[in-house]
Amino acid sequence: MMADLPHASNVSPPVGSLRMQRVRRLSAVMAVVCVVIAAALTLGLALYWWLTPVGAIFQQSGLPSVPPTELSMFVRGAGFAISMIPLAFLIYGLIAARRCFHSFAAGNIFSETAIASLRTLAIGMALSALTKPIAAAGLGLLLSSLPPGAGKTLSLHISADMILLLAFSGIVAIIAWVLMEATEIADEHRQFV
Amino acid sequence: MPIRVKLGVVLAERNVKSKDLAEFVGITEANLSLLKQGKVKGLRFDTLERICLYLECQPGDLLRFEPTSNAEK
Repeated sequence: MMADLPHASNVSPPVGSLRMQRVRRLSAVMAVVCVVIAAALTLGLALYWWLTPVGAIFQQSGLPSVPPTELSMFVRGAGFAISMIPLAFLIYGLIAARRCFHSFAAGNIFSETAIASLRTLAIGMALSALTKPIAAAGLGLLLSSLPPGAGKTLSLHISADMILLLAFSGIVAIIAWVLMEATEIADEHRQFV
Repeated sequence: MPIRVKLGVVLAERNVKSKDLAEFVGITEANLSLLKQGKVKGLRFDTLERICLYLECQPGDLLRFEPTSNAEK
């Protein structure tokens, strides 16, 4: 019986196996981190709209008008809903990242699921970047209509952050495409054991 | 394919489970099964080394060249 042979038990496991175990452990942790980040961002945004004084909200939105003394829960809820639009797309991307890490944790590094999830992450980030100025414009309209007698203000800001996020999501999408092409090559290598 | 894999025979002779061998070698049971069936494109030397180490055999015990009529000189 092999179990009786002394030398077999003294041989350490292959280095590749240890490395893979490290990858799987880290990926499992990252899958949880993605969910935590998504939950924290949502909770953070909800707390912002619930607790931030009206003066601070107006200041941060860059509106020139004098803010009212208080914001109703309806307005705060509407502000949260509008702000959630770009965040929802980002969370959509984070959930896709979670699927990607789950796939890594299962040992499927170059799988179709993992690469498709990476592509979805890129799409989520791009949509988040594109809807940010629209949400900001919506918030501007909402808040500017509150002070009595004030006219509505529609402003559209395209920031460097948005362009950087768009560029980054484009890079991630290209990486996902390259990986997809590489899996076909790797499929052939996989037939070597 | 002219190269026949006799791994299944050697495993049966030594009463070794595929699961244990796969774990020792560091490949999946699925890949080991494909190897036993001769359905892989190639075999790495380090995989062959670990199989021989575990089964205490020679590479020639695991692989046999059985040329087809087209492959004969």
